[in-house]
Amino acid sequence: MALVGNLRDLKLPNLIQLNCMEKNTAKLTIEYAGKYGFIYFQDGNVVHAELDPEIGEEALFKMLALQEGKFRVENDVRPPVISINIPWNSLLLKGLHHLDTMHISDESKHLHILSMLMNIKGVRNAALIDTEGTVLASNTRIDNSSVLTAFTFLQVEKISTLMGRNNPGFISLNSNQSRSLIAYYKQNLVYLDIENKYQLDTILVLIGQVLSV
Amino acid sequence: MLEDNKWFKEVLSISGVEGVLLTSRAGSIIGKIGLNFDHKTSEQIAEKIIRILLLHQQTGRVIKELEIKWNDYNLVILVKDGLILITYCSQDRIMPLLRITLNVVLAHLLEDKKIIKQIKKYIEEKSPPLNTAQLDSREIKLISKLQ
Repeated sequence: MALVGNLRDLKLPNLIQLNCMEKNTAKLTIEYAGKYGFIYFQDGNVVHAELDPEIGEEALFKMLALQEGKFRVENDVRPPVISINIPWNSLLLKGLHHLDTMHISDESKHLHILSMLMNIKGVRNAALIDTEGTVLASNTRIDNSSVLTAFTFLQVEKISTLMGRNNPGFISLNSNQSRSLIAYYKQNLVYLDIENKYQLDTILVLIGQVLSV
Repeated sequence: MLEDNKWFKEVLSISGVEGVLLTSRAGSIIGKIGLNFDHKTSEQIAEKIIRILLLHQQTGRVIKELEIKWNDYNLVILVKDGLILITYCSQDRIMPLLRITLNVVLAHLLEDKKIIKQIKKYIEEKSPPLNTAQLDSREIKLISKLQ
């Protein structure tokens, strides 16, 4: 039977460690932001990883940045190819060091910030959007919300100018069906779909902490 | 104008509230109190807010509350039955109380015959704020991306 779960509950380094220590041959599939990543284990070692367009160590290192995402481990699935040739514990150490010190690509940074936002209780969906309404990273399809976010921010920018103020920290929109938040983050916009039952003021503090990192 | 309206005054009496603006959904100012902005600036602020509301409405999402939060300042906007109540507030800690008060005040304003009369008067008066002739190229480009 396949092991399924979410990286929120079981972090990827722990998941790798578990499979390697048990000398598993298995395929680990991670689904995040509409993308799929794969890690293959053979006799207790990580021997192959894929995260489009990366293959091998680079793919694995990118996946190590994920704090959230559905996973599934299928036992006795063999790798299609061998792209990683170092022992799992060295690989893991290298990967974690890589995370700390490497120049993280914009895409990895986006995924990382999105993961942290998704860890906040009450955040249903999150997306990073540029000011032209293009989605840079998202945990789900948000369709028109990206354009609405950019348009809303543009109008609020104009309001701020009229009032002699800088850009605001947050914009909160509440409809009968849902609540969303917009925040300005490093030249881009963060869109968050929030569960209505959570106190806005509490959630804003947590989001502020993530975005100020 | 409704500067003497008791509900307006009630909101203004809350510590931290600096002003209140009431507009129709067409963007006409029905009343304002305690604001330093001139009439034109108030209208321009209302126009931008209405654009946000209308564009969301076009995609099937009816916004009933909008809050804009700066470091030390908040705009709280409530929308109901053709009325838009915009409140300027300089204190974060009163926000929960303010939200409750504003909902009550808006309900009372909607029962005020004078205000209902004014909303009706303003309904068809102005051109819609999403009229492309009034939008800049960035706004038009964004709207064109909507599916």
